[in-house]
Amino acid sequence: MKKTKWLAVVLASVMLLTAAGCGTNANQAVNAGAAAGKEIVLAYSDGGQTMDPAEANDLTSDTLVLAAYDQLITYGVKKANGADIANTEELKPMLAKEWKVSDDQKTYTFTLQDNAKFQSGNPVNAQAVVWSLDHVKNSKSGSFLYGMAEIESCTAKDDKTVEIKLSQPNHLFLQIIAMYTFSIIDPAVVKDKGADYLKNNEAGSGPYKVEKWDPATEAVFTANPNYWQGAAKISKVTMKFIKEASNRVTLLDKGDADMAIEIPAQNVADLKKNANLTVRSDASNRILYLAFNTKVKPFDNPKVRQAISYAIPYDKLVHDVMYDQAKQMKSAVASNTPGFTDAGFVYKYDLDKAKQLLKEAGYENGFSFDFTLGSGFQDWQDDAVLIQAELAKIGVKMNIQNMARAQFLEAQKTHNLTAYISKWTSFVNDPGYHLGFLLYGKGTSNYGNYQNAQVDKLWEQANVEPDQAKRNELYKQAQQIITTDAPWVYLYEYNRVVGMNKNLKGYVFYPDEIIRFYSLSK
Amino acid sequence: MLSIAENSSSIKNSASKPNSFFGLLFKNRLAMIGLFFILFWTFVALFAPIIAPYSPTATNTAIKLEAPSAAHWMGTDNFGRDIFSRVIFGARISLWTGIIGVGISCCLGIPLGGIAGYYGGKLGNVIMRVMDTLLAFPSLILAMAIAASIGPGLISAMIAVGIVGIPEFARLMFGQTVSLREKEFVEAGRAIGVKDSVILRKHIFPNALAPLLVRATLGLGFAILTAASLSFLGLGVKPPTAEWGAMISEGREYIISGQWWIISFPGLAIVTSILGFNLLGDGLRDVLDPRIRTGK
Repeated sequence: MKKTKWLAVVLASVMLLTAAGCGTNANQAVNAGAAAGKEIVLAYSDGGQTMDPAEANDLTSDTLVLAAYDQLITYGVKKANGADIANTEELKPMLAKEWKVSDDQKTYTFTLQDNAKFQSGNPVNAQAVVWSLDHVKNSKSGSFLYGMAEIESCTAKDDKTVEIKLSQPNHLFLQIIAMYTFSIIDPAVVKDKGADYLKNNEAGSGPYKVEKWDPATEAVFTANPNYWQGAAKISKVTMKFIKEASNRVTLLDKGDADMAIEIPAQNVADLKKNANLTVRSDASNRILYLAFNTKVKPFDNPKVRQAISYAIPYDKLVHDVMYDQAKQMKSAVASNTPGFTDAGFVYKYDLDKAKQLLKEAGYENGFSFDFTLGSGFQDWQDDAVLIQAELAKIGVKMNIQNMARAQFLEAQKTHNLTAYISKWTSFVNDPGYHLGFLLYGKGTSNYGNYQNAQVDKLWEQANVEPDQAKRNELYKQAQQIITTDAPWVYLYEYNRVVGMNKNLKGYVFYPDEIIRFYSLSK
Repeated sequence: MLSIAENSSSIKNSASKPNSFFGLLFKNRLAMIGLFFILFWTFVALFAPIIAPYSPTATNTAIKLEAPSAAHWMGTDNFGRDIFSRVIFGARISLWTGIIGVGISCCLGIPLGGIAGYYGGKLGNVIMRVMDTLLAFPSLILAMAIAASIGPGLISAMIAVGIVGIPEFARLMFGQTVSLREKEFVEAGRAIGVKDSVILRKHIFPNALAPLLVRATLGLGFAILTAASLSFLGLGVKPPTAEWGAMISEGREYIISGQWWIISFPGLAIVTSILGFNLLGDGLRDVLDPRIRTGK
């Protein structure tokens, strides 16, 4: 009896304490809400890896970086069909108010804004720019872009002037320097807190402060009230990380999220029926292709690769797998990339032609091959199943090997996969950048080992050609050769589908697919 | 625990109820429902090509995502494949995985448990501690690890399901053997010089059969579920093979857009087949476990 009484007392006090605790929390929440003003919730899929601009390499990490940091220059915005989309060919001042290029195209002089301040209150000065570029140079991930920019040296001429010398003229330099990788970091904060500080914290001059970032659940941003371009209109942004696409769609549909990204194509039509929502579907330069290992039999024979290209149900892929939220791909380069051409693209779904080509290649009775399917994207699997069914009709047996995404990315790097589906987004929307990674003989992401001396020569020639029109001409020739050679089966170009509440304004589509929070308003 | 051999005589004496093994089993209504499900799925699996109206892998996107109708009893999936046919062919894969998986568990687990229990000592200790280690892992995680390391595929799913089940059988056999090896008939055998291996096979194993049979029946249900889970996670069958877990995995993208039939029917198939094995297993235990039986 005594024991029971004692227990009751303990229980009662615990309950009281809990109730009291709830009370204070609730009050705090109300207060915070009143002070904060406009808030939005965004539904993302991945939680991100790092906040260090030079190491960020996935969509969420990049989004975090762009919210917290500014760059020297940024991309312009243009109207297309009434919607705002980025114009990556136009570069606009950001932390640099102006810049000059020397006659030999090798020296760029940037003059910084007078009023730009880091969130710490320190001014954005030339030393910070030099330090930040040095940080990229010594990073694991960004150092590659640093090399690609051909930067030879970066010096502070005075407090507000930075001079960057290139080892050779580089038409991509300004576009590369505008990327999130080259964000300007406050060196004083890093010196104070240590080098690892940047991984989980920000030290930028950007429009938002990161209040909380937990890759497993959510990230919370609050507007930087002293932002040098004026405080952002949305005072609090919450990114919820929700892996399952259907859950993101539900949140958006029910109004619990103001915006959701990576919406499955089959849900677009339903969401469009919801009067409270706007669904933006912009043609991106994210491409999907089926790559062959061109060093492995039978795919070392261009005729075999062409035959497969004739056995692909292109319309079905776009219509039945992607529900028309994609567009057929007709060159190794995305169609909205400057210098694109579909010359040489003669392929259409024609099994007789495919059989005839196989016969010419000496594979009249077909063959079988291993196809590696990376997990994580439903449409990849759907494509694989449809292609498998078509190839079976021309006697080609495609063995689908499932592989977890992380494993798949590693396997790709071995250059040993026989055939696989992969996607690619070129952050610099330029055929030189794009082909240089993917199909140039020494390209770092040329995992299918495609090698064509003519293509390599054209690419190298274009790389040092200062005139854009002539450069694009060279890239067009290269594309035509590649298309005829068929090292890839061209599948489709994705649309970037973003669903948002009707009252959320200011969304701008960027080809890198990263959303900049600063332009949003409600 | 008593063995059946010993116990059967005492049961025969209580003559008022039909008390033979089958008599008792047939009287157990739940076990009969279980048996019905099992026979149903076995029949479906055996005659899949005859029953299925369409090829399970034939795609036809012109009729994709159609709701159940007279032509397609369970509707079609996003490739226009007939779900009814896929569920029927899926039964083959699921039952096979269950049988092979439990087979592997039995073939390795029972001898290991028997040896550990019979000889005891250091050898027994080592074997049983290894089994404990295996048991310490959550079974699905262990199966995933095994399947991922061998490389995804139907065979590796079977192996994974089999390995995960080994310790259960080993432990059960161990317990049985430890109690049986002290029995007079075993001692008698040893006294007249019967070989250890013969004692284990001919005297101990038959007497431990009842609980093992119950465990194997229940294990079949578990094996089917684990295999379906592996396929759901992309570690099981390769596309376009029809497998219930994989069908649910592919169909879950379509729940929101309203195509409930893609996941519901394979889901129902998984439920009924596992329920079948579980009900029958429970029924078998009721009949075979002397403690429960004499208590009634």
